[in-house]
Amino acid sequence: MLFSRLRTKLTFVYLALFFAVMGIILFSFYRSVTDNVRDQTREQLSASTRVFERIVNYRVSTLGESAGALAQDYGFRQALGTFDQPTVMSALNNQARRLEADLAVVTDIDGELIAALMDGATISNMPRIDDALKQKAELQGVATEIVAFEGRIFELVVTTVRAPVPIAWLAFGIELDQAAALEIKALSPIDLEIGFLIEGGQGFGVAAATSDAEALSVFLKKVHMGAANFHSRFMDQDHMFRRLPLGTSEVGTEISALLYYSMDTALAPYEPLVITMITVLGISILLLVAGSVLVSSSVTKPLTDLASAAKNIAEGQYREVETSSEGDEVADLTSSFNQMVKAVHERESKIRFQAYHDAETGLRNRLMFERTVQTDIDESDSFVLVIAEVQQLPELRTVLNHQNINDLIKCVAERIEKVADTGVARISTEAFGFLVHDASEAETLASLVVNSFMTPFDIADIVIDAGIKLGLVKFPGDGEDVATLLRHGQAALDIGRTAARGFAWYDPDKDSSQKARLSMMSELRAGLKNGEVRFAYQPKLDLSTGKITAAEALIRWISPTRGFVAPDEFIPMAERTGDIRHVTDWGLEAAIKQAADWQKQGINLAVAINLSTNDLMNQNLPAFILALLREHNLPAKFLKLEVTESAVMHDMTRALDVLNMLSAMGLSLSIDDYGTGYSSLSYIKKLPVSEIKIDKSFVLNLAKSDEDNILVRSTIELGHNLGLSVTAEGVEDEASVERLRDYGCDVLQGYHIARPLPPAELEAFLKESEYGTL
Amino acid sequence: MKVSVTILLMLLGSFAVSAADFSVVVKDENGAVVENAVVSLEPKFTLNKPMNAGQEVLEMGQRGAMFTPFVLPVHVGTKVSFPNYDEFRHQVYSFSKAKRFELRLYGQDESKSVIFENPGVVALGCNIHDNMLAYIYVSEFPIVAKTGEDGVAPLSELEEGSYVVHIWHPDMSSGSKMTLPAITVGDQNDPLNATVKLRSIRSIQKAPAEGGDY
Repeated sequence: MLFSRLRTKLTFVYLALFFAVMGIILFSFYRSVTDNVRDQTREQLSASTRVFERIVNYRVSTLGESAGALAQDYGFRQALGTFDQPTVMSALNNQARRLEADLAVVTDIDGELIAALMDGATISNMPRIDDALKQKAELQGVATEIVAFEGRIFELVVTTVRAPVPIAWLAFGIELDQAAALEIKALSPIDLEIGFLIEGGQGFGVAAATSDAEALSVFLKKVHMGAANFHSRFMDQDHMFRRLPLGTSEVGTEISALLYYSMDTALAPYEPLVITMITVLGISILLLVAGSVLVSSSVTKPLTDLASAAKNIAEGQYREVETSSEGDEVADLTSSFNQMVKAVHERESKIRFQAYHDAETGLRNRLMFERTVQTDIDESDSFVLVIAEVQQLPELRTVLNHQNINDLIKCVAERIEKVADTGVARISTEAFGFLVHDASEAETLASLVVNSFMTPFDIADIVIDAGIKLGLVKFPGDGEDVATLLRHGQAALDIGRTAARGFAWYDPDKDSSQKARLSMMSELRAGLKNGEVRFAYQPKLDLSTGKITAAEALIRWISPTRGFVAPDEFIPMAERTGDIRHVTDWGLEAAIKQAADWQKQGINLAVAINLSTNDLMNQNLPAFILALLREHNLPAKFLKLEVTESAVMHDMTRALDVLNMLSAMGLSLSIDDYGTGYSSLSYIKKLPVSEIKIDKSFVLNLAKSDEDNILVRSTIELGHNLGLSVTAEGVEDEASVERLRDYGCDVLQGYHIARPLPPAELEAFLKESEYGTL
Repeated sequence: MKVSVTILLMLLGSFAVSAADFSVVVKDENGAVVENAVVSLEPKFTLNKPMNAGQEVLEMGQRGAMFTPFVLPVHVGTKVSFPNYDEFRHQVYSFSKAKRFELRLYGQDESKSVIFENPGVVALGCNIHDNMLAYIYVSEFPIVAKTGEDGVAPLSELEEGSYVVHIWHPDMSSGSKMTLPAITVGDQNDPLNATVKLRSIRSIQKAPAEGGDY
C-alpha cells in the first residue's frame, strides 16, 4: 500500500511539475503571441493612422487648390463685389460639382452667409468657420479644418476672396462618409475598419463607418474611450481600437476617427501553431505518465524487496536482498541494508551465544538447558533429565586457582558428554544437566558416568580426584514443565549424594519431607526467639581431679507443632540454608550467659559449644565472642569451642585464621568427633587446639571391642604425645570408665556420668553427685 | 474694437499767429512707427480758408506691376489719374462701396482719371496682376495727411482752433477708422502721438513674382 502510494506520489509530482512547466511555457507563448500581435496591430493601426492623415491631407490640398482657383476667378469676384447673387450661386454650384464637393459656402468678409450648397442643393445655414481658420486662410491662402455639420463630418477648405482686399470667404467641404472610409481602408496594410465619430451629449455618435455603423453606434454607447489605444470586445471579437482626434465641433466636442482591428483576425495565423503545441503537450503527457510509472516502479520495486526483507529480519530470517540496480542510490541502499543485516545477524548470534552459554567455560548455561528441556517436552514422548554434581569442589577450590577450576569444569563436562553421548549444560556452579532420551538406558548411563569419574583428571599437571553424583527425573511422570523437572532433579540429586551407587531417581515422598524441612527453618528462627530452643548441658568429668570441670552445651528444640526435633534433623539443614548463623548467635549468647550465671553462683563450670563450618568461615566471629564475654564479664577460660574435623577441612586456610584468633583470645578449642574424619593427628598438630574428643562410636563398645580399645588407647597416647588433652565421649558404663582411666584419658563425658541436663537439673546434680565442681 | 489713445498736448506761450504747424506721430502697439497711416482733421470751427475740392489732380500710378503710392489720401471730389508706366497693360478695378469702377485694359502712358465723390476707402486691384493693391482714402474733411516712413504725418499752416483727429490705416479693421478726442491747435504745437492697433496680417502690395509673365 505504502509503495503504491509512493508510486502515485512520484507520478503525481512529475505530472504536477510537467504541468507547471508546460503551463508557464504555454502562458509565455500565449502572452508573447498576443503581445506580439497586439503590438503589430497597434503599429499597423498607427501606420493606418498616418495613411489616413495623408489621404485626408491629399484630398484637402486638391480641394484647396480648386477653391483657390475659384476665389481668384475675376468673374466670381466681380459677381461677389457687385452683389450679383444669382451669378455667385451659379458659380458656386458649378465649382462644387466640378470639385465633387459635398458642401460649398460663401460668406462676406464679416462671415454673413451669401450662398451655401450641400449635395447640390441650396441651404440656408452653414457650418461655422472660426476666426483662427479664417486668419490661417488669409495668411496661407487656404486653410482646412474637419467640421461637423448636420451630423456629418466634412473636410472643410476655406480660402479668402480678394478684390483685391478680402471681400469674402469661400469654403468647400468633402464629407468623410462611408466611401471615404472604404477608400482609406483599401489603402491600409491591414483589413481594418474605420468609423467617423462626433462626440455628443451621450458619448460618441457615428457619422459614418466602413461597415456595421449601427452596431458600432450601440457599442460606443457602452464603452468608455479614455485612451487613444484600447481594446475591447466588439461584434463578439476582441478588437484593438485607435482613436484619432480630427477636430472640434461647433460646440467644442471632439470629432474623431476610430480605427479598429479584430484581434481574432490578427491571431488567426497562429491557430495552427496552437494546435501543434496542444498536440505536442498531449503526447508529452502520455510519455511522461508512462515514463514516471516506469521510473517510480524501478524505485519502488527495490523498496518493496527491502520492506519484505525487513519483515523477514523481524521474524529472525536474515536474508540478503538482491537488487537489479547498479551504481545508483537504490543499489547503495540495498548494499547498506545487506551490511546491516549481516551486522545485526552477527551481533544477535553473539548475544544469543552469551545468553545461552556460561561465560567462564563457554558451556551451555542453565537458560539454554531450560530451552532444550522445553523443546524436548514439546517434541519428545519421554526422556530422562539428569542433574550431575561435582563433589569435593569446595575442597578443590582451596588448592586450585580459578582457571584450574574452570578447566576442571570443562573436563568434567567433556567426560560426561563422552560417556553419555549427549550435550551437557552447566546449570549451576557445581551442577550439570543433560538429557537421556531412552529412559531404559538411563540407569546404565548414570552408572557409566559415575564410574568414569574413577579416573582422575589432569589439570595443569595436577592429578585431581573428583566424584560425581546424579539425580534423575523422568518425563513424563516426575514433572510436566521445565521448572518442576529441574527442581525435582535437584531433589533427586540430594538423595543421590548419599546413595551408594552415586545416583538416585526422584522420590516424591522424600521430596515432600524435604519441603517440610524447609518450612522448619522459619519455625526454627521463631523458636530461637521464643524459647523453644534451649541448651542441655552434659557434664565433663576431669579424671585427674574427679570433679566436673565443664559441660557441653547441646541444643534441644521442642517445637509446639513438631514436638522434639533432633539436632541431626535441623542443624545440617540450617547449615545449608544459612540459618545456622542465627543458631550460633543464639547459642553463643545463651552459653556465655549461662556460664556467667554459674560463675556468679560460685559454680566454676566451663561451657563448651559446637561451632559449625559456617562459623569457622565467619571472620567476625572472634570479635562477636569477645564482645559477649565482656558483656557478661566471663573469663575466656570458661568458654570452650568444639569444631569437627570436616568443618576445619572445608576451607582450612580461612578456618585457621578464625581459630588462631579465637585461640589468641584465650579460648580453648577442641576437635570434636575425632576419628570419624580422614584427618591424621599430624594434621591436627597444625591447629591451635588443646583437646581432642574421641568420637563416641569408638567409646560405646570399648568394653567389648578390642579394636576399639587399641584405637582409643593409641589415640590417647598420640594425643598426649602432641600435648593435647583427650576427652572420651559416649562413656556409658563403669568398665569403660576404668579402661579409659587406665589408658590415661583426661576427661570423660557420657551417660554414665550424666545425660545432658537443663541448667537447673545440672546444678542439682552437681550438688548431689559424688563429683561436684572445683 | 479696443483702442487706447495717448494724447500729450501742451500749449507753450501765446502767439497770435493765424497759421501754425502740427504733426501727428502714429505708432503701433509695439511702439513701432506706422507708415501709410492717414490722418484727417475735422475742424470744429469754420475755416477761414475753405477746402478747394477738384482743383488738384492726384496720381495713382502703376509702375513695375505695383501701384504707387500704396496709400493715397484725397479730399472728397478729388480727381485721381491712373497713369500706366509699365510696358504691359493693367486693368484697375475697385469693388469698394465708396467708388466702384473698372478701368478697362489700358497701355503705357495711357492715363485714365476717376473722381472720388464719396468719402470712404477705395481698395484698388488689377485684374491682371493679383499682387497689385493700393488704397485711396477719400476724406470728407479738409485737412488730410499721410505718415511717412518715420510715422509722422505733417500738418502745416493750420488755423488755430479745435480739431477732431481721425486716423485710418489699411491694417486697421476693414472699413473702420479711429477718431480721437478734439484737440486745440495753437501757434506752437507738440506733435500728437497716436497709437493704433493693427492686425497682425498686414495688407501689403507684394512685388510681382520675378520673371513673371505679365
